[in-house]
Amino acid sequence: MSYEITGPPLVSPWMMLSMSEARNDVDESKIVIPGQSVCDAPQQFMRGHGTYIRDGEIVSSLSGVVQQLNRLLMVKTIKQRYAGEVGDVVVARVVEVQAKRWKCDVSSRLHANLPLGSVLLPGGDFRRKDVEDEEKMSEFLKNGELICAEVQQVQHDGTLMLHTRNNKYGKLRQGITIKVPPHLIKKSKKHFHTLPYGMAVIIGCNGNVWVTPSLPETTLEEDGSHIHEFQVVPQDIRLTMVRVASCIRLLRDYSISIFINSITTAYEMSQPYDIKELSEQETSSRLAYLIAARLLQELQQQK
Amino acid sequence: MSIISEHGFRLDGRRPAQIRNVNTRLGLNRNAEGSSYLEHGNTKVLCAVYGPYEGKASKRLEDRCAIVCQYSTTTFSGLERKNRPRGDRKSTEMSRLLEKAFESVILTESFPRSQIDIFCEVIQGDGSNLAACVNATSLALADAGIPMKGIASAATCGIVEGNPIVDLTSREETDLLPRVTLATICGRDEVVLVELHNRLHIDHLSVVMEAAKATCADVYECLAVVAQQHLKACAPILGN
Repeated sequence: MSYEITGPPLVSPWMMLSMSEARNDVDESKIVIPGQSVCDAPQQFMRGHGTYIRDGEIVSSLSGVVQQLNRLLMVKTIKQRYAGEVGDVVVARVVEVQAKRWKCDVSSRLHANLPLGSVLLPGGDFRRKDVEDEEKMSEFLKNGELICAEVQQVQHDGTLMLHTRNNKYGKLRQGITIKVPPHLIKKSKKHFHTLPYGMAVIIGCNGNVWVTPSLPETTLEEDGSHIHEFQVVPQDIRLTMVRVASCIRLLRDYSISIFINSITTAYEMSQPYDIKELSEQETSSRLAYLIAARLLQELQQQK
Repeated sequence: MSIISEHGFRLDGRRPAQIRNVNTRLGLNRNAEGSSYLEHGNTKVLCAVYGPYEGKASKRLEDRCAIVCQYSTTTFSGLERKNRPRGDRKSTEMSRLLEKAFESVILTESFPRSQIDIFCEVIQGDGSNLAACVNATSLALADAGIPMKGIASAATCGIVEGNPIVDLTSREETDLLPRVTLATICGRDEVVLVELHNRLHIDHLSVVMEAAKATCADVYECLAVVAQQHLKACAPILGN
Protein backbone atom coordinates (compact mmCIF):
# COMPACT_ATOMS: atom_id res chain seq x y z
CA MET A 1 0.00 0.00 0.00
CA SER A 2 1.34 3.41 -0.83
CA TYR A 3 0.67 6.69 0.83
CA GLU A 4 1.00 10.12 -0.60
CA ILE A 5 1.83 12.97 1.71
CA THR A 6 0.14 16.07 0.43
CA GLY A 7 1.05 19.61 1.36
CA PRO A 8 -1.06 22.27 2.98
CA PRO A 9 -3.84 23.95 0.97
CA LEU A 10 -2.77 26.17 -1.90
CA VAL A 11 -4.20 29.27 -0.32
CA SER A 12 -4.64 29.51 3.44
CA PRO A 13 -7.97 31.02 4.45
CA TRP A 14 -6.30 34.09 5.92
CA MET A 15 -4.57 34.76 2.62
CA MET A 16 -7.79 34.67 0.66
CA LEU A 17 -8.85 38.00 2.04
CA SER A 18 -5.47 39.62 1.54
CA MET A 19 -5.31 38.42 -2.04
CA SER A 20 -8.82 39.51 -2.99
CA GLU A 21 -9.57 42.62 -5.04
CA ALA A 22 -10.17 44.51 -1.80
CA ARG A 23 -6.39 44.83 -1.72
CA ASN A 24 -5.52 47.80 -3.83
CA ASP A 25 -3.67 49.66 -1.11
CA VAL A 26 -0.39 47.80 -1.69
CA ASP A 27 1.81 49.01 -4.50
CA GLU A 28 3.36 45.83 -5.83
CA SER A 29 6.22 47.57 -7.59
CA LYS A 30 7.46 48.90 -4.23
CA ILE A 31 7.64 45.50 -2.59
CA VAL A 32 11.17 44.14 -2.43
CA ILE A 33 12.76 40.95 -1.17
CA PRO A 34 16.26 40.67 0.31
CA GLY A 35 18.93 41.00 -2.36
CA GLN A 36 16.71 42.84 -4.79
CA SER A 37 17.84 46.12 -6.25
CA VAL A 38 15.97 49.11 -4.84
CA CYS A 39 16.50 51.70 -7.55
CA ASP A 40 17.71 52.07 -11.09
CA ALA A 41 19.96 55.07 -10.63
CA PRO A 42 22.07 54.46 -7.51
CA GLN A 43 24.21 57.58 -7.98
CA GLN A 44 21.25 59.85 -7.31
CA PHE A 45 20.24 58.29 -4.00
CA MET A 46 21.57 57.69 -0.53
CA ARG A 47 21.07 54.35 1.14
CA GLY A 48 18.95 54.26 4.28
CA HIS A 49 17.74 51.58 6.69
CA GLY A 50 17.29 48.11 5.31
CA THR A 51 19.62 48.55 2.36
CA TYR A 52 23.24 47.86 1.56
CA ILE A 53 25.55 48.42 -1.38
CA ARG A 54 26.55 45.57 -3.67
CA ASP A 55 28.64 46.32 -6.73
CA GLY A 56 27.75 50.00 -6.57
CA GLU A 57 24.06 49.22 -6.51
CA ILE A 58 21.61 49.89 -3.68
CA VAL A 59 20.13 46.56 -2.64
CA SER A 60 17.47 45.74 -0.08
CA SER A 61 18.44 43.58 2.89
CA LEU A 62 14.87 43.22 4.10
CA SER A 63 11.59 41.98 2.76
CA GLY A 64 9.31 44.97 2.77
CA VAL A 65 8.27 48.17 1.08
CA VAL A 66 10.62 50.78 -0.40
CA GLN A 67 10.17 54.26 0.99
CA GLN A 68 11.72 57.41 -0.33
CA LEU A 69 12.46 60.55 1.61
CA ASN A 70 13.96 63.17 -0.70
CA ARG A 71 17.16 61.42 -1.79
CA LEU A 72 17.12 58.79 0.93
CA LEU A 73 15.96 55.30 0.07
CA MET A 74 14.96 52.92 2.80
CA VAL A 75 13.11 49.66 3.17
CA LYS A 76 10.48 49.17 5.83
CA THR A 77 9.62 45.60 6.77
CA ILE A 78 6.06 44.46 6.60
CA LYS A 79 6.40 41.72 9.17
CA GLN A 80 8.88 41.96 11.99
CA ARG A 81 9.36 41.56 15.70
CA TYR A 82 8.44 44.46 17.91
CA ALA A 83 10.86 47.39 17.77
CA GLY A 84 10.00 49.74 20.59
CA GLU A 85 9.64 53.48 20.42
CA VAL A 86 9.54 55.96 23.28
CA GLY A 87 5.99 56.50 24.51
CA ASP A 88 4.63 53.12 23.37
CA VAL A 89 2.21 51.38 25.70
CA VAL A 90 3.25 47.76 26.09
CA VAL A 91 1.76 44.74 27.79
CA ALA A 92 4.75 42.80 29.08
CA ARG A 93 5.40 39.66 31.07
CA VAL A 94 7.93 39.59 33.91
CA VAL A 95 10.51 36.89 33.24
CA GLU A 96 13.20 37.59 35.79
CA VAL A 97 13.66 39.51 39.02
CA GLN A 98 17.17 40.92 39.19
CA ALA A 99 18.92 43.35 41.49
CA LYS A 100 17.05 46.65 41.27
CA ARG A 101 15.20 45.73 38.10
CA TRP A 102 12.75 43.37 36.51
CA LYS A 103 13.36 41.79 33.13
CA CYS A 104 10.22 41.75 31.01
CA ASP A 105 9.39 39.92 27.83
CA VAL A 106 7.89 42.41 25.38
CA SER A 107 8.32 40.10 22.34
CA SER A 108 11.11 42.36 21.23
CA ARG A 109 14.51 41.02 20.27
CA LEU A 110 15.88 41.67 23.76
CA HIS A 111 14.12 41.65 27.10
CA ALA A 112 13.03 45.04 28.42
CA ASN A 113 14.16 46.44 31.76
CA LEU A 114 11.83 47.79 34.37
CA PRO A 115 14.06 49.46 36.98
CA LEU A 116 12.89 49.55 40.57
CA GLY A 117 13.17 53.33 40.42
CA SER A 118 10.60 53.49 37.63
CA VAL A 119 7.69 51.85 39.40
CA LEU A 120 5.07 53.56 41.45
CA LEU A 121 5.50 52.90 45.14
CA PRO A 122 3.45 54.45 47.96
CA GLY A 123 4.79 57.79 48.98
CA GLY A 124 4.80 59.37 45.57
CA ASP A 125 7.60 60.23 43.19
CA PHE A 126 9.91 61.49 45.90
CA ARG A 127 10.05 58.25 47.83
CA ARG A 128 13.56 56.87 47.92
CA LYS A 129 13.93 53.26 46.95
CA ASP A 130 15.94 51.58 49.68
CA VAL A 131 17.28 48.13 50.43
CA GLU A 132 14.00 47.15 51.97
CA ASP A 133 12.19 47.87 48.74
CA GLU A 134 14.77 45.84 46.87
CA GLU A 135 14.15 42.87 49.10
CA LYS A 136 10.44 43.10 48.49
CA MET A 137 10.75 43.23 44.72
CA SER A 138 9.64 39.66 44.15
CA GLU A 139 6.61 40.29 46.32
CA PHE A 140 5.72 43.29 44.24
CA LEU A 141 6.03 41.61 40.85
CA LYS A 142 6.70 37.91 40.43
CA ASN A 143 7.93 35.95 37.47
CA GLY A 144 5.19 35.32 34.97
CA GLU A 145 3.05 38.24 35.99
CA LEU A 146 1.68 40.55 33.37
CA ILE A 147 2.21 44.28 33.51
CA CYS A 148 1.24 47.26 31.49
CA ALA A 149 3.97 49.85 31.07
CA GLU A 150 5.23 52.66 28.90
CA VAL A 151 8.52 52.73 27.02
CA GLN A 152 10.63 55.44 28.58
CA GLN A 153 13.85 55.01 26.71
CA VAL A 154 15.39 52.93 23.96
CA GLN A 155 19.04 52.22 24.68
CA HIS A 156 21.67 52.13 22.00
CA ASP A 157 21.70 48.33 21.88
CA GLY A 158 17.94 48.21 21.44
CA THR A 159 17.00 47.34 25.03
CA LEU A 160 13.82 49.05 26.15
CA MET A 161 13.54 50.80 29.49
CA LEU A 162 10.01 50.72 30.82
CA HIS A 163 8.28 52.71 33.50
CA THR A 164 4.97 52.37 35.33
CA ARG A 165 4.98 55.79 37.00
CA ASN A 166 1.28 56.36 36.53
CA ASN A 167 -1.83 54.89 38.09
CA LYS A 168 -3.00 53.49 34.79
CA TYR A 169 0.12 51.33 34.41
CA GLY A 170 1.10 48.46 36.65
CA LYS A 171 0.13 44.89 37.28
CA LEU A 172 -2.69 43.35 35.26
CA ARG A 173 -4.81 40.79 37.04
CA GLN A 174 -8.18 39.72 35.70
CA GLY A 175 -8.51 39.41 31.97
CA ILE A 176 -7.55 37.68 28.73
CA THR A 177 -4.34 38.23 26.77
CA ILE A 178 -4.27 37.76 23.03
CA LYS A 179 -0.96 37.65 21.25
CA VAL A 180 -1.03 39.16 17.79
CA PRO A 181 1.85 39.95 15.45
CA PRO A 182 3.05 43.47 16.36
CA HIS A 183 2.84 44.71 12.77
CA LEU A 184 -0.93 44.40 12.94
CA ILE A 185 -1.24 46.92 15.77
CA LYS A 186 -2.07 50.36 14.48
CA LYS A 187 -0.55 53.03 16.65
CA SER A 188 -2.86 55.71 17.95
CA LYS A 189 -2.93 58.36 20.63
CA LYS A 190 -4.93 56.17 22.94
CA HIS A 191 -4.22 52.57 23.79
CA PHE A 192 -6.49 52.26 26.82
CA HIS A 193 -10.10 51.96 25.83
CA THR A 194 -13.22 51.46 27.90
CA LEU A 195 -15.76 49.92 25.58
CA PRO A 196 -19.47 50.63 25.95
CA TYR A 197 -20.14 46.92 26.52
CA GLY A 198 -19.03 47.05 30.16
CA MET A 199 -15.42 46.06 29.63
CA ALA A 200 -12.09 47.50 28.54
CA VAL A 201 -9.12 46.69 26.32
CA ILE A 202 -5.48 47.68 26.39
CA ILE A 203 -3.88 47.43 22.97
CA GLY A 204 -0.19 46.95 23.66
CA CYS A 205 2.06 48.18 20.88
CA ASN A 206 4.14 45.03 21.26
CA GLY A 207 1.28 42.86 20.06
CA ASN A 208 -0.26 41.83 23.37
CA VAL A 209 -3.89 42.83 23.66
CA TRP A 210 -5.42 42.71 27.11
CA VAL A 211 -9.17 42.28 27.47
CA THR A 212 -10.36 43.06 30.97
CA PRO A 213 -13.57 43.90 32.86
CA SER A 214 -12.26 47.33 33.82
CA LEU A 215 -9.09 49.33 33.27
CA PRO A 216 -6.52 48.78 36.01
CA GLU A 217 -5.94 51.46 38.50
CA THR A 218 -3.00 50.67 40.67
CA THR A 219 -3.82 51.22 44.30
CA LEU A 220 -1.17 50.26 46.80
CA GLU A 221 -1.18 49.41 50.45
CA GLU A 222 0.98 51.38 52.84
CA ASP A 223 3.65 48.66 52.80
CA GLY A 224 3.94 48.76 49.04
CA SER A 225 2.18 45.54 48.17
CA HIS A 226 -0.66 45.44 45.69
CA ILE A 227 -4.17 45.33 47.01
CA HIS A 228 -5.64 42.02 45.98
CA GLU A 229 -9.08 42.72 44.76
CA PHE A 230 -10.18 39.75 42.77
CA GLN A 231 -13.81 40.20 42.00
CA VAL A 232 -16.36 37.87 40.62
CA VAL A 233 -17.05 39.06 37.09
CA PRO A 234 -20.69 38.66 36.09
CA GLN A 235 -21.34 36.10 33.39
CA ASP A 236 -22.66 38.54 30.81
CA ILE A 237 -19.46 40.61 31.08
CA ARG A 238 -17.39 37.46 30.81
CA LEU A 239 -19.24 36.48 27.66
CA THR A 240 -18.70 39.94 26.20
CA MET A 241 -14.98 39.68 26.98
CA VAL A 242 -14.75 36.30 25.29
CA ARG A 243 -16.57 37.63 22.26
CA VAL A 244 -14.22 40.62 22.02
CA ALA A 245 -11.26 38.27 22.43
CA SER A 246 -12.56 36.02 19.62
CA CYS A 247 -13.06 39.07 17.44
CA ILE A 248 -9.45 40.15 18.00
CA ARG A 249 -8.26 36.64 17.13
CA LEU A 250 -10.35 36.78 13.99
CA LEU A 251 -8.79 40.11 12.99
CA ARG A 252 -5.37 38.61 13.65
CA ASP A 253 -6.07 35.47 11.63
CA TYR A 254 -7.12 37.49 8.61
CA SER A 255 -4.36 40.10 9.10
CA ILE A 256 -6.62 43.07 9.55
CA SER A 257 -5.10 45.96 11.49
CA ILE A 258 -6.03 46.01 15.15
CA PHE A 259 -7.17 49.32 16.58
CA ILE A 260 -10.24 50.40 18.51
CA ASN A 261 -12.36 50.97 15.44
CA SER A 262 -11.68 47.55 13.95
CA ILE A 263 -12.36 45.86 17.29
CA THR A 264 -15.73 47.56 17.79
CA THR A 265 -16.70 46.99 14.15
CA ALA A 266 -15.82 43.32 14.46
CA TYR A 267 -17.70 43.06 17.73
CA GLU A 268 -20.86 44.62 16.35
CA MET A 269 -20.77 42.64 13.14
CA SER A 270 -20.22 39.39 15.04
CA GLN A 271 -23.51 39.79 16.94
CA PRO A 272 -25.57 37.49 14.68
CA TYR A 273 -23.17 34.63 15.40
CA ASP A 274 -22.48 32.51 18.45
CA ILE A 275 -19.08 33.03 20.03
CA LYS A 276 -17.96 29.51 19.17
CA GLU A 277 -18.91 30.08 15.54
CA LEU A 278 -16.31 32.84 15.29
CA SER A 279 -13.51 30.32 15.33
CA GLU A 280 -15.06 28.20 12.58
CA GLN A 281 -13.52 28.76 9.21
CA GLU A 282 -16.68 29.25 7.19
CA THR A 283 -18.17 31.89 9.48
CA SER A 284 -14.91 33.64 10.22
CA SER A 285 -13.89 34.02 6.57
CA ARG A 286 -17.29 35.48 5.66
CA LEU A 287 -17.25 37.80 8.65
CA ALA A 288 -13.65 38.90 8.05
CA TYR A 289 -14.50 39.82 4.49
CA LEU A 290 -17.45 41.94 5.64
CA ILE A 291 -15.41 43.62 8.35
CA ALA A 292 -12.60 44.47 5.92
CA ALA A 293 -15.09 45.86 3.42
CA ARG A 294 -16.75 47.99 6.10
CA LEU A 295 -13.44 49.34 7.37
CA LEU A 296 -12.22 50.17 3.88
CA GLN A 297 -15.50 51.93 3.18
CA GLU A 298 -15.15 53.99 6.35
CA LEU A 299 -11.63 54.87 5.40
CA GLN A 300 -12.72 56.12 2.02
CA GLN A 301 -15.50 58.20 3.55
CA GLN A 302 -12.99 59.89 5.80
CA LYS A 303 -10.97 60.89 2.79
CA MET B 1 20.53 0.42 -14.57
CA SER B 2 22.06 3.58 -15.94
CA ILE B 3 21.17 6.96 -14.55
CA ILE B 4 20.77 8.59 -17.93
CA SER B 5 19.05 6.46 -20.56
CA GLU B 6 20.30 6.18 -24.11
CA HIS B 7 17.69 8.76 -25.15
CA GLY B 8 19.02 11.27 -22.64
CA PHE B 9 16.32 10.93 -19.98
CA ARG B 10 16.75 10.25 -16.29
CA LEU B 11 14.89 7.69 -14.16
CA ASP B 12 12.01 10.06 -13.44
CA GLY B 13 11.81 11.30 -17.01
CA ARG B 14 13.71 14.54 -16.57
CA ARG B 15 16.47 15.91 -18.74
CA PRO B 16 19.91 16.11 -17.04
CA ALA B 17 19.72 19.87 -16.45
CA GLN B 18 16.07 19.98 -15.46
CA ILE B 19 14.95 20.68 -11.89
CA ARG B 20 11.92 19.12 -10.27
CA ASN B 21 8.72 21.03 -9.62
CA VAL B 22 9.11 23.59 -6.88
CA ASN B 23 6.03 24.09 -4.78
CA THR B 24 5.83 26.37 -1.77
CA ARG B 25 3.59 27.80 0.92
CA LEU B 26 4.61 30.57 3.26
CA GLY B 27 3.47 31.80 6.63
CA LEU B 28 1.67 28.61 7.62
CA ASN B 29 2.92 28.46 11.18
CA ARG B 30 1.42 31.51 12.76
CA ASN B 31 3.29 31.06 16.03
CA ALA B 32 6.67 31.37 14.38
CA GLU B 33 8.01 34.68 13.08
CA GLY B 34 8.49 33.10 9.71
CA SER B 35 7.65 29.71 8.28
CA SER B 36 7.63 27.90 4.99
CA TYR B 37 6.73 24.63 3.38
CA LEU B 38 8.67 23.64 0.30
CA GLU B 39 8.52 20.77 -2.16
CA HIS B 40 11.16 19.80 -4.67
CA GLY B 41 9.30 17.04 -6.45
CA ASN B 42 8.74 14.48 -3.73
CA THR B 43 11.14 16.06 -1.23
CA LYS B 44 8.96 17.92 1.24
CA VAL B 45 10.34 20.17 3.93
CA LEU B 46 8.80 22.30 6.67
CA CYS B 47 10.75 25.17 8.17
CA ALA B 48 10.04 27.57 11.03
CA VAL B 49 12.09 30.55 12.15
CA TYR B 50 11.82 32.03 15.63
CA GLY B 51 13.47 35.24 16.68
CA PRO B 52 15.57 37.26 16.95
CA TYR B 53 14.90 36.97 20.65
CA GLU B 54 16.96 37.05 23.83
CA GLY B 55 18.09 33.46 23.89
CA LYS B 56 20.21 31.41 26.21
CA ALA B 57 22.99 33.26 28.00
CA SER B 58 25.43 30.49 27.04
CA LYS B 59 24.81 31.08 23.33
CA ARG B 60 24.90 34.86 23.53
CA LEU B 61 27.42 36.77 21.41
CA GLU B 62 28.20 40.38 22.15
CA ASP B 63 28.73 41.56 18.60
CA ARG B 64 26.20 39.60 16.55
CA CYS B 65 23.29 37.23 16.88
CA ALA B 66 23.63 33.51 17.38
CA ILE B 67 21.99 31.20 14.89
CA VAL B 68 20.77 27.87 16.14
CA CYS B 69 19.56 25.36 13.64
CA GLN B 70 17.89 22.03 14.02
CA TYR B 71 17.59 19.63 11.13
CA SER B 72 15.33 16.68 11.65
CA THR B 73 13.68 14.05 9.54
CA THR B 74 10.39 12.41 10.30
CA THR B 75 10.59 8.71 11.08
CA PHE B 76 8.73 7.95 7.86
CA SER B 77 10.68 10.24 5.56
CA GLY B 78 13.06 7.73 4.02
CA LEU B 79 13.06 4.23 2.64
CA GLU B 80 13.72 2.72 6.04
CA ARG B 81 11.91 3.74 9.16
CA LYS B 82 14.17 5.81 11.36
CA ASN B 83 14.08 5.60 15.10
CA ARG B 84 15.98 8.82 15.77
CA PRO B 85 14.48 11.75 13.93
CA ARG B 86 17.17 14.11 15.20
CA GLY B 87 20.38 14.15 17.16
CA ASP B 88 22.16 11.45 15.19
CA ARG B 89 25.43 12.21 13.44
CA LYS B 90 23.98 12.86 10.04
CA SER B 91 21.31 15.28 11.27
CA THR B 92 23.78 17.09 13.51
CA GLU B 93 26.10 17.54 10.55
CA MET B 94 23.25 18.93 8.46
CA SER B 95 22.29 21.31 11.29
CA ARG B 96 25.85 22.64 11.53
CA LEU B 97 26.07 23.09 7.77
CA LEU B 98 22.84 25.07 7.72
CA GLU B 99 23.97 27.16 10.68
CA LYS B 100 27.28 28.04 9.02
CA ALA B 101 25.60 28.84 5.72
CA PHE B 102 23.00 31.14 7.22
CA GLU B 103 25.50 32.88 9.48
CA SER B 104 26.95 34.35 6.31
CA VAL B 105 23.57 35.05 4.73
CA ILE B 106 21.90 36.83 7.65
CA LEU B 107 23.27 40.24 8.64
CA THR B 108 23.95 38.97 12.13
CA GLU B 109 25.70 42.10 13.36
CA SER B 110 22.40 44.00 13.36
CA PHE B 111 21.11 41.94 16.30
CA PRO B 112 23.83 41.75 18.95
CA ARG B 113 23.12 39.50 21.95
CA SER B 114 20.11 37.91 20.28
CA GLN B 115 19.39 34.48 18.92
CA ILE B 116 17.57 33.18 15.88
CA ASP B 117 16.25 29.62 15.89
CA ILE B 118 15.73 27.73 12.66
CA PHE B 119 13.88 24.43 12.62
CA CYS B 120 13.85 22.30 9.48
CA GLU B 121 11.91 19.10 9.24
CA VAL B 122 12.06 16.76 6.27
CA ILE B 123 8.61 15.27 5.92
CA GLN B 124 9.43 13.22 2.87
CA GLY B 125 13.00 12.79 1.73
CA ASP B 126 13.56 12.11 -1.93
CA GLY B 127 17.06 13.43 -2.47
CA SER B 128 18.60 16.90 -2.23
CA ASN B 129 17.38 17.20 1.36
CA LEU B 130 20.02 19.71 2.40
CA ALA B 131 19.37 21.89 -0.64
CA ALA B 132 15.63 21.79 0.05
CA CYS B 133 16.27 22.81 3.66
CA VAL B 134 18.41 25.77 2.59
CA ASN B 135 15.68 26.92 0.21
CA ALA B 136 12.92 26.48 2.77
CA THR B 137 14.94 28.35 5.41
CA SER B 138 15.62 31.23 3.01
CA LEU B 139 11.91 31.64 2.43
CA ALA B 140 11.08 31.41 6.12
CA LEU B 141 13.71 34.06 6.91
CA ALA B 142 12.31 36.33 4.22
CA ASP B 143 8.86 35.80 5.71
CA ALA B 144 10.19 36.68 9.16
CA GLY B 145 11.58 40.00 7.90
CA ILE B 146 15.12 39.23 9.03
CA PRO B 147 17.82 41.30 7.28
CA MET B 148 19.86 39.21 4.87
CA LYS B 149 22.29 39.76 2.04
CA GLY B 150 19.76 38.09 -0.18
CA ILE B 151 17.70 34.97 -0.59
CA ALA B 152 19.98 31.94 -0.62
CA SER B 153 19.15 29.13 -2.99
CA ALA B 154 20.74 25.71 -3.16
CA ALA B 155 20.93 22.73 -5.45
CA THR B 156 22.50 19.29 -5.47
CA CYS B 157 24.27 18.18 -8.62
CA GLY B 158 25.98 14.98 -9.63
CA ILE B 159 28.10 13.93 -12.55
CA VAL B 160 27.72 10.83 -14.72
CA GLU B 161 30.41 10.11 -17.29
CA GLY B 162 31.34 13.75 -17.49
CA ASN B 163 27.76 14.96 -17.85
CA PRO B 164 26.28 16.92 -14.95
CA ILE B 165 22.82 16.04 -13.67
CA VAL B 166 21.00 18.45 -11.38
CA ASP B 167 18.56 18.22 -8.48
CA LEU B 168 19.16 14.58 -7.61
CA THR B 169 16.47 12.26 -6.34
CA SER B 170 17.17 9.64 -3.67
CA ARG B 171 17.50 6.93 -6.34
CA GLU B 172 20.25 8.95 -7.95
CA GLU B 173 22.03 9.68 -4.68
CA THR B 174 24.00 6.45 -4.75
CA ASP B 175 27.32 5.68 -3.15
CA LEU B 176 29.14 5.79 -6.45
CA LEU B 177 27.84 9.01 -7.91
CA PRO B 178 29.76 12.07 -6.75
CA ARG B 179 27.43 14.85 -5.75
CA VAL B 180 27.92 18.47 -4.80
CA THR B 181 25.47 20.62 -2.83
CA LEU B 182 26.00 24.29 -3.52
CA ALA B 183 24.20 27.32 -2.11
CA THR B 184 24.56 30.83 -3.48
CA ILE B 185 23.03 34.18 -2.63
CA CYS B 186 20.49 35.57 -5.10
CA GLY B 187 21.64 33.09 -7.73
CA ARG B 188 24.83 35.09 -8.15
CA ASP B 189 28.45 34.17 -7.58
CA GLU B 190 28.56 34.45 -3.79
CA VAL B 191 28.77 30.92 -2.42
CA VAL B 192 27.63 30.21 1.15
CA LEU B 193 27.73 26.43 1.26
CA VAL B 194 29.53 23.64 -0.61
CA GLU B 195 29.40 20.01 0.30
CA LEU B 196 30.83 17.06 -1.58
CA HIS B 197 29.83 13.43 -1.23
CA ASN B 198 31.93 10.59 -2.64
CA ARG B 199 35.03 11.02 -4.75
CA LEU B 200 35.08 13.39 -7.65
CA HIS B 201 37.68 13.64 -10.39
CA ILE B 202 39.31 17.05 -10.41
CA ASP B 203 38.54 17.57 -14.09
CA HIS B 204 34.85 17.22 -13.29
CA LEU B 205 34.88 19.75 -10.48
CA SER B 206 34.43 22.88 -12.58
CA VAL B 207 31.76 21.19 -14.69
CA VAL B 208 29.72 20.23 -11.62
CA MET B 209 30.17 23.61 -10.00
CA GLU B 210 29.04 25.45 -13.11
CA ALA B 211 25.97 23.23 -13.39
CA ALA B 212 25.20 23.69 -9.70
CA LYS B 213 25.55 27.45 -9.95
CA ALA B 214 23.21 27.60 -12.90
CA THR B 215 20.70 25.45 -11.03
CA CYS B 216 20.93 27.69 -7.97
CA ALA B 217 20.05 30.63 -10.21
CA ASP B 218 17.05 28.71 -11.58
CA VAL B 219 15.85 27.83 -8.10
CA TYR B 220 16.35 31.42 -6.98
CA GLU B 221 13.97 32.63 -9.67
CA CYS B 222 11.29 30.32 -8.28
CA LEU B 223 11.89 31.40 -4.67
CA ALA B 224 11.98 35.12 -5.48
CA VAL B 225 8.58 35.02 -7.16
CA VAL B 226 7.00 33.19 -4.25
CA ALA B 227 8.54 35.47 -1.62
CA GLN B 228 7.35 38.59 -3.39
CA GLN B 229 3.81 37.30 -3.85
CA HIS B 230 3.62 36.32 -0.23
CA LEU B 231 4.78 39.71 1.00
CA LYS B 232 1.84 41.39 -0.61
CA ALA B 233 -0.56 39.06 1.17
CA CYS B 234 1.21 39.76 4.47
CA ALA B 235 0.62 43.48 4.57
CA PRO B 236 -2.09 44.24 7.12
CA ILE B 237 -5.38 45.45 5.73
CA LEU B 238 -5.65 49.16 6.54
CA GLY B 239 -2.05 49.18 7.66
CA ASN B 240 -0.45 52.48 8.47
